[in-house]
Amino acid sequence: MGRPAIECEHVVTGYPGAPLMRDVCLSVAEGEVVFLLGGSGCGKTTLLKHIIGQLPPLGGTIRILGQDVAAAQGPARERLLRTFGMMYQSGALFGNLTVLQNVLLPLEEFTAFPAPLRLAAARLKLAQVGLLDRADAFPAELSGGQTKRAAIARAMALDPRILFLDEPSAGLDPVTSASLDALIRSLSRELGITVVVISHELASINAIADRAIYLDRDAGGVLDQGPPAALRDSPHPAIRAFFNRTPGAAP
Amino acid sequence: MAPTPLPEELTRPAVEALAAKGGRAGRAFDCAAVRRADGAGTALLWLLRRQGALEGALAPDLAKALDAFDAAQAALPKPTPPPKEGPLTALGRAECGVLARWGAAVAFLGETLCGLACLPRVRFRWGDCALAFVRCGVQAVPVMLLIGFLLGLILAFQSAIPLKLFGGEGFVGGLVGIALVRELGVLVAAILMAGRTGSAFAAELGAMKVNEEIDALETMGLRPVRFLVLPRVLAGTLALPLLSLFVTFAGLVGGWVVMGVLGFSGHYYLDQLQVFVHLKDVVGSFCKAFAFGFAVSAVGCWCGLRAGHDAGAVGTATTAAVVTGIVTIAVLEGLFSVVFYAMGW
Repeated sequence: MGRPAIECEHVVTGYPGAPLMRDVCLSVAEGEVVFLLGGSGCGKTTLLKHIIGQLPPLGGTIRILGQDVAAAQGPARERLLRTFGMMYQSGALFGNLTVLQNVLLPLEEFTAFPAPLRLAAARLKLAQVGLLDRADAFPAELSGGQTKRAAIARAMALDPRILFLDEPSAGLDPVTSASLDALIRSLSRELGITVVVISHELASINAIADRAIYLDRDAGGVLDQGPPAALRDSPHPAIRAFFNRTPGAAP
Repeated sequence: MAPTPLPEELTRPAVEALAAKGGRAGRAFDCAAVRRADGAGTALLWLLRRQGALEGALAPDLAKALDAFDAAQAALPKPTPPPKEGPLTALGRAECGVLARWGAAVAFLGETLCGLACLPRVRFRWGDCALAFVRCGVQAVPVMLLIGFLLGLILAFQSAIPLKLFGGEGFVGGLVGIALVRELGVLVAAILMAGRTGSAFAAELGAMKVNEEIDALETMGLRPVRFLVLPRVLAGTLALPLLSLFVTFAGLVGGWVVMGVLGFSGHYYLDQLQVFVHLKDVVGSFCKAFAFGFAVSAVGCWCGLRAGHDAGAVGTATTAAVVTGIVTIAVLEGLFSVVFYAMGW
């Protein structure tokens, strides 16, 4: 296993006055593809918000590439933010910009590249996600799968070392979902990007996850973790139920 | 000149350093040492190769990535220019668009008026109407009182100065009374309502359009006009006459304060109002208030329902609601002036 890209030590997740999990301890190594799993409402997205510094945790320490997220302020925080990219569940593309302009935006704001190089870099990202032919389209004109691809291209614009994906396959047909899985896998394999995915899609988890971490609110944190194949035989009934799609046992 | 060697790791910092140094035309780069390139590095290699400024053999992985990018670009369909359109066709198309918009507006107006006329016979959402009335009426009272008071104060002061030159400052009360009751009270209340309530209606309905809530209503077989528009329009139509009363009353209080400063008693001020302000002025003002209230609310809802589906649509709808609302008020004001003149009011 490589160096840790993300470390959570005794993190208390939730909102002030409404804690969700009281002791989350996990680590993600560089280059790994890790899925965060758990029942609906257990706090996966909240944990992700804590990790990316959007919401301060109620306790504990989160480090990205060795740097304490909560302690990073000012320019250090800006540098930290540029080490990772985030794809939101809805895509969160800017509706008044074209797909190409969406990808160009971080390059224009955070790099000193000359214009032709920025344009080439943005088009390269679109080619990597297979959206070069939709460069001039507006987000409203894209299908669900294309929106997610465009969002991944924008998240990758600054060549981040970590990519966070919130429900990338939600609402997509199996073929589009599989092609998105292949894209995530190739990003990890070819570019060495650490990928953290929140998803409930068993097919995606089985296809591309190096490791899955199952979060449970009653357990107050990580219930179990490991390769998907190993988790299928987990001693915890909730995890077995999740992987075997058994009703009732999962929260 | 010997080519500039590129580093083994061609990542964003290295690319930025090269970009900072700037390039000269004809300068060549040696890529033989490059083993790894991120997105920025790959883009730089692609640009240099296209410009013929790249020397040395690329690592196989990088060459493959550049070839894949070239292939993706080559596979793009050639952009086809839009078909040329003559000026007559363009004019006709524009006219059709305008006519379609007017047609839709007339249909909306008809459906809203019919809906209001049929209120006793349809299932009406009185709760929504009450909530809209509180928002557009009750909650607007403080700002209406403040603006009305200041309006009366300013009007009285500004008219007192020239009237004093002719010894006519005693008529300030009458002037303020006529101006506020006949025109300004209702006009200012309507303009404030256009800015406050018309925009709010447009934003609410526009956001619902963006979130596909209006599509969901239609899919369930519910008419957006009955479900969303009628409660708001009825609330606005009933609220504006009351709000214009508040503006007028506060303005008259402002005029009374100025008259007091000028040395006239309250009794004299009331006598002046009784002499100059007649019942027909109040009735006419109420007629206008009902019409303005209906127009402002209906325009707000119309702009919201016609909003697009993108993020900027709500802002556009809100702006359109305020501008169209004020223009509609001005047009209606002109019509009322003509009608009242013809009636001898």
